[in-house]
Amino acid sequence: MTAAAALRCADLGKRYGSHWALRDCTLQIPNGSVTALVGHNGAGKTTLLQLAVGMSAPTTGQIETLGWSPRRTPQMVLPRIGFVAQDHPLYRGFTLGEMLSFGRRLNARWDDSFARRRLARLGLDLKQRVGKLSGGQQAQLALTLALAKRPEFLILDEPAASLDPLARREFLQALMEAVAENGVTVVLSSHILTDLERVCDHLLVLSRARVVLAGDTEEIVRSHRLLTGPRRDVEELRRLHSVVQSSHTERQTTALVRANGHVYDAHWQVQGVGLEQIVLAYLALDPSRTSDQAAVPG
Amino acid sequence: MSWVVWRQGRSENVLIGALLAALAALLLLTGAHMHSVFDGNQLSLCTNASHRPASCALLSSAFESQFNTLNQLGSWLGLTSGLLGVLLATPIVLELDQGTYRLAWTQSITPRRWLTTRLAALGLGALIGGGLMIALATWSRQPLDLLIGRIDPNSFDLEGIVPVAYTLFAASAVLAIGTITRRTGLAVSAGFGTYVIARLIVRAVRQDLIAPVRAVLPIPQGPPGIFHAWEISHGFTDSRGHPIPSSIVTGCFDAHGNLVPQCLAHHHVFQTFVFEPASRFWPLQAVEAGIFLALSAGAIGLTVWWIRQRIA
Repeated sequence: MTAAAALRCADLGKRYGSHWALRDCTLQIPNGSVTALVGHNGAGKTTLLQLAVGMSAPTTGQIETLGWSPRRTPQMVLPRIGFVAQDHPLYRGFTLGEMLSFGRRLNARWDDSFARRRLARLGLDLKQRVGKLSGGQQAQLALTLALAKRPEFLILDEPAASLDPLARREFLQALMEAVAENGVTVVLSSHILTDLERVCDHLLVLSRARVVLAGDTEEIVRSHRLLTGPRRDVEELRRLHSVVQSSHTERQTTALVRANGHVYDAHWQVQGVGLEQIVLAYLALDPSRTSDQAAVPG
Repeated sequence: MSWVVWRQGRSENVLIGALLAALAALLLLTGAHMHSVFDGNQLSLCTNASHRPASCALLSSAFESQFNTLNQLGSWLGLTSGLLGVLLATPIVLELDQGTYRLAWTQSITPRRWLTTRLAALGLGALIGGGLMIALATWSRQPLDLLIGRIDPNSFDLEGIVPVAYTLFAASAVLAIGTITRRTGLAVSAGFGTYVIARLIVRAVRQDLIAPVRAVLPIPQGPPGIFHAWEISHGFTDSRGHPIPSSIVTGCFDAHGNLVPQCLAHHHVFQTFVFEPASRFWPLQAVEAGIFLALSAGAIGLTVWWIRQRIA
């Protein structure tokens, strides 16, 4: 493990009662990356992000955000992160000006002129009430509040989930502009990969409380291959490559593999495969049985 | 942070202001009226137990009956302490209910600081609001207190130090329920209900918090210490304080329906007084405030534990 990780987890687990929301989570998110955290609802995305900002204490293992424990040393973590929780909670009775005042009073590194400029560019009036804003505007306001903290690490939990496709696109575009301007590390979670594919360079897939895939998106796309050929057993393939998913029809066998180097086998027709399709295959895995195939460090 | 606490609780703070203003108007107006009647009849001459002019009995009972309704109102004003507590706790419960704590706890201040600041603001609000209530009620009821004492529940519940403890208890009950359920409406109603029930229970057992004085005396005398006392009961008994058949007493009425003391004395009828003397005002205040403060501390302890273990 290197020092240049914005987030680092080792054997991290979180249990609520008898239910494990997250387990055996070992990963790191490199500084400067933009990471998509993908998984079904209830897969453990929010749990992981709440652990990262110290809103929740790990049941097992360790977590470090920007090199510090968010729970034991929150004063070393909180001023350096920007966090937008799921459904972007805001004080609905406040005016936008009062929301900025809130940010200014609770953050030493607060950049008020940045926040004002950004809201002006979005066409938002400081005298308006938060409750009167549209969902997209509220998401933008929440992002502005997080960015005006001048964070090193931006953590966004389903930031665009409640938005319509157009607002979602605008939001992600604004996010990427801000990231380009400020050079922050970003993690954003989503239950769908659509749209995120274009903005992320790293990927983290959670399924049923476990990490099933992690790494650089280009590396992931490069290493995965879709093999098709006359029907046969895939056991032979397993000796060389990781078989993520295989299916058979009467005559044909299809297998998605994480290839160990090139696939030199005349039996198979080898194709590249898109990130979205790879993610869907991993989401379909039952990680408690096949975790040996998963989680290749990026 | 203090601006944030103030702004988040703005609606509640306005309501608290309105509540206290209404209470102040009521207590100042009625108080001014009572003071003027009290002064006009020179009732201040009747406030000393050892030498009261003969006219005092009539004058002070006339004053008491004139302001009886106002005196009885004292108990109901105790609800104000509960409302004040509810309003002080509501902004914190709303923060948890509406999920904005996730915004507040990820600013640069730590969740621990958030919690301590909010609890300190709540405590300060209870101290200021409760203190104001005490000052207003004590001034307003001064004439009544001078004539009949202030250990009687109508005054006791509004004066001394207990109103601050009541307010804190109502606030911490709402806070604890709100933290566990994260539902503001439920927390407010169940918390206020808890407050009313706790107050009724403690009121019912107050006379046993410090064992009352029990005095058995021959008929015409009143016991020492009965002046300004809280009279819990008073009745005819034998010389050892045991009840007597009512036929003995009913046999002692004269033709005008008045009891004849000589007749009662002849039948060895005594009077038994059970009361808390006026000197117990502060000890009882301390015990009752202690009970509510201990309950508040328990509820706030539960709240902090729950937030740290279950929410945060």
